[in-house]
Amino acid sequence: MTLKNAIIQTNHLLSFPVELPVPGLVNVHLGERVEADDLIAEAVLPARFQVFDVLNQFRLKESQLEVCIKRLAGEEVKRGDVIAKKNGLISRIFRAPEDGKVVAVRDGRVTLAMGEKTIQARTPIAGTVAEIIPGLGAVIVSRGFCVRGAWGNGKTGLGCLLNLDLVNEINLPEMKDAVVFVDSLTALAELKALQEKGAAGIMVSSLETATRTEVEKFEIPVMSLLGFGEATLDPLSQSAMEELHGKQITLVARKADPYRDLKPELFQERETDETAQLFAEPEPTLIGRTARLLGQPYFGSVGKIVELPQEIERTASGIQSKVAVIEREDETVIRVPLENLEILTN
Amino acid sequence: MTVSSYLSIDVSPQHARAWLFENQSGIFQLVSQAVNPFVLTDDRALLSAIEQSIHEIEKNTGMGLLSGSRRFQIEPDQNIPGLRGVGLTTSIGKAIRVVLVGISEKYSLEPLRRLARFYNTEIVVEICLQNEPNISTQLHQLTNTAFDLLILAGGLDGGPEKALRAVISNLRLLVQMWGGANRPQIVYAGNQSLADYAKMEIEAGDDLHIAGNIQPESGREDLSFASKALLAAIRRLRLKEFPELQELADQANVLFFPGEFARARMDHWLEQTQTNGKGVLQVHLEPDHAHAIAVQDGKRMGVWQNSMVDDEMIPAVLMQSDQPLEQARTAAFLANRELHPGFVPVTIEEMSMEIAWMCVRIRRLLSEMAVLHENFHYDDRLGLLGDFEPILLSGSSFERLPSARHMFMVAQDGILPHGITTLVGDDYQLITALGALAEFDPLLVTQIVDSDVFNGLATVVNVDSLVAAGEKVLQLEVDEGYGEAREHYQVYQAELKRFETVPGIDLRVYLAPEPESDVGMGLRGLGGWLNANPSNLGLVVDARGRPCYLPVDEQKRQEARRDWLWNLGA
Repeated sequence: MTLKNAIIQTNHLLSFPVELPVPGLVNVHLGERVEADDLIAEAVLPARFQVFDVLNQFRLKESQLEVCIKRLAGEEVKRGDVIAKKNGLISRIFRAPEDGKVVAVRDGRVTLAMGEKTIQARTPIAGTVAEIIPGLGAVIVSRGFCVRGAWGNGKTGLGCLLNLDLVNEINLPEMKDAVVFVDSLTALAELKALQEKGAAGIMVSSLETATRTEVEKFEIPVMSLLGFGEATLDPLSQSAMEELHGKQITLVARKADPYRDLKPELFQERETDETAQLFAEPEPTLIGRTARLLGQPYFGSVGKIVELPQEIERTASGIQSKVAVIEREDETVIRVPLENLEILTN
Repeated sequence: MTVSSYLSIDVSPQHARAWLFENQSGIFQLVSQAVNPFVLTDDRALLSAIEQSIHEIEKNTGMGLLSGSRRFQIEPDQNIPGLRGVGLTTSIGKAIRVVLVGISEKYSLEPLRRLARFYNTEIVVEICLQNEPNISTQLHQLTNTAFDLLILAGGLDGGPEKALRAVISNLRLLVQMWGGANRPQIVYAGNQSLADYAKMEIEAGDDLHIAGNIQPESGREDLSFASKALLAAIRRLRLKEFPELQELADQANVLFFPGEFARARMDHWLEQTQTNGKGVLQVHLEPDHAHAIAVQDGKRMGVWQNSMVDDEMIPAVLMQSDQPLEQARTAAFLANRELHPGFVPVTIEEMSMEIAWMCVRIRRLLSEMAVLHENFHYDDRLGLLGDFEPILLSGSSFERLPSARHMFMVAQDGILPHGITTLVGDDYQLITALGALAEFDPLLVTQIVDSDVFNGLATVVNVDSLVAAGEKVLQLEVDEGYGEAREHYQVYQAELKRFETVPGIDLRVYLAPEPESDVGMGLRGLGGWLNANPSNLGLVVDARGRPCYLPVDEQKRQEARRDWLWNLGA
C-alpha cells in the first residue's frame, strides 16, 4: 500500500498554489508572510483590442505604407489621435477610438490595446510564500491542524466553525459568516437554505449524489468529509469537529486529486515548535493504527489494524488484493483490501 | 553473439513499471519486470518509484542499470554486453488545455480535433477563421483564455494567406505578452508558404513547432507531420509539468514519449504485419481515463477520455448490471469510485457495478471516436461495425479483474463486435513497453510478440440475426483434433456459448449459419471453416444479436446477464 497522509493531522503542512489564469506580475517574494485575501499576483490586460488593416482598408501598396502609419509600436495614444492617414483628394484617416497603446505594427496592420482589465489572484489562506510560480503566482504554505475531506466544490473560505443540528437550529443567527458543519447525509434543499442564511462555508459528513452538480455551482465552499451516500462519521472526526466548534478555521474545499494525495480539508493554523526534518521519517507501521473503511456495508466505520498478511487474498467479488485484518469497534474482525482503507490519525 | 539489453519504463497514474528485455541466445526475451504503486505526494515520489522499479530489476538480474547519480548505464560499444537503450513513457499529468485555430470547420478544425483528442487534452477554445474573421475579436479570445497548446492550421499549400497571416501576427503579440516562462506550445500545420514567416514572426524558439500542412492539397488530409510536431510539443509540456523527469529523458539513447503514442506505434506495427486485412483496435482502461486506438489501412485513429460520472452514467450502469441495484447506492458508488481510484470492489454488488461501469466507459469512448473519425463505425446500440482483429485489451482496470471471463464480458458488451474476431489481453502491460523500444531494434518487438506474451482471451463468432430469441441461428461442426469424430452443436438466438480449446491444438469449426444469420463471412447465411487458436476461453459464439438482445423485464435481464457470464465458465 502506498501510504497516504492521515485524515486527521495535528502538524499538517497545507500547501496551496495561488495562480492567475493568464500570465501577469507576481507581487510577493519568497518567505513573505501573507494574510488571507492578500494580493499574490496581478495581470493587467487590455480590455479590448483593435486591429486595423491599413494596407487593405486604405487600398495601399506596400511601398506607400510607411508614410501612412503615424504611430509606432509602444506609443501611448489618446482618443481621436491619428494612427494612420492616407492623403489624397479625399483623405482617409484611422483614429484611436479610445485611449490606449499601439502594441503592434506588423504586416500593414496596426494593433491597438485599449482600456484595462485587471485579474487578481488573492490568497484565501494565511501563511508563508514557499515557492514563486513565475508570472503566475505563488505557493502558500501554512502549518496546523487539519481534517481531510473526500470531496470539495473547488472553493475556499474562512469562518468560525458552527456544529449544527439541522432539525432544530436552522435559524440560528450566528450562522451568518460561519462555516457550518452538519453531521448527516445532507440534501440540496438544506444546503441551499444554509447558503441563503449567509453561511461562509458548509461541511457535511456525506452528500446525496444527486446534489453534486448543483453544489459545484455554490458560491461558498462545500466539503463532504466521507463522500457520497449513506455513511456514518467516525467518532474521531466527530470529536475533532466538537473541539473546533466556535474557532476560526479555513475551509479549503478544493477538488480532490487522488493521484497527488490532494484532498479538500478543514484547516486551522497553529503555532508549532516542530521544524521540518532533514531526512524523511521512516514509514510508520500500519499495525495498531486506526483506519476508516471505504465501501459498503462498512462505509465510514473505523477499526484498528491488527494484522497485515503478506499473501494476496481473494475477496468475495473474486478480485485479488493484499488485505488488512481490522478489528472493528464492535469487536468483529474483518479482512479489508488495503486500498479500501484510510488511515485516520498519524 | 553480444547480449544487448533494453529497458522500458512506464509511469501511469498509479504505478511505475519497468521491464528488461535481452537477446541472450539471439532471441529477445522479457527477463524481468517490476511494478511499484506510488502517489505524487512530493517532487521525489515519481523518481523514487521509477528508481525502485529499476532497482528491483537490477536485483533480479544482477545487472547495473541506473547509477547513483541517476545516469542510465548505457553501453555504446556493441561488442560489449550491456544496456543499449531506454524507453520512458508516461500517461500522467493534467489534461492539456488546447486552442484550435483553423480556416474552415471541415478541412481544418475537424482534423485538428482528431489530432488533439488522441492525447489527454481539453479543447478550451476553437476559432474558425471563416466564422470569426474579425482579427480584433480573435486576439481578444486568445488573450483571455488560459491554455497550454495552440494548434494552427488551414489553407492549401500556396493558397490564400491573409487570414493565417493575421493569426500569426496575433500569436506574436500573445507570445510577447506572456513572456518566455509561460509561453504556450504552438504547432503550425497550415499553408506551407507561411511556415518560414510563422517561424520568424512568432519568435517562440523551441516552443514553436512547424509541421507539414494537414491538408497539402484539396481533399487530401495528412496528419502525419502534424502528429510529430504535436508529439514534440506534448513532450515539452509534460517535462515542464514533471521537471524531475528531465534528467532521465535528456540522456543519450533514452526515448521519452506519452504512453499512448507508444501503444499506437505497436498497433500500427501489428496492423502492418498481420495478413488478415483487418484493422487493429486497442482499448486501454485505467480508473481515471480510457484510451482507444484503431489502426485501419495504415491510418491511425484514437481518442483519450477522462473518466466522468454524470447523470447519464447512472441509468446506463443500472441497465448494464447483472444484479438488482438501488439507484442511489449505484450513484454513490460511482461518485465515490471517482474519489478513490484504487478502490477494490469487494461485494458481488460492487463487482457488478464495477463491470457495468467499465462497459459503459468503453461505449462512451468508442462513441466519441466514431464522432471524431468518420471511418470508425461504432454505434453504442449496434456496436462496432468495422472489421478489427485482434482487439487488444490493456490497462490496470482490465488487469485486476478476477478472471478472463470478466475481462471478456466487459470488452464484448462494451465493444459489441460484428463477425469473427479475437480478443487479446495485455496481461503484462507490455504494449506500451514495446512501443517505446521499437525504434531501437524492430527485432525486439517481433520476437517478443511471437513469444506469446499476450494472453489470447477468446475467438469470438458474433451472430447477427433478426429472428426471435430462442430460434436457431447457427449450427457448428466442431473438430477438436481427436481423430475423425466431430461434434455438432446448435446455437439459438440470445445465447452466449463457449467451446473450450486445448493448449497446443487449434479448434477447427465449421460454421453453418441459418439463412438469415450473418457470422461475418460476407453474406447472411454464408458459412465456412474457422480455425480458433487455443486461448483462455476458447471459442465463444455470441448470438445475442445487434443490438444485443435483452429482456425488457429488469429481473429477467439481470438473470440473462448472469447466465451469460456463467456460460463462459464459473
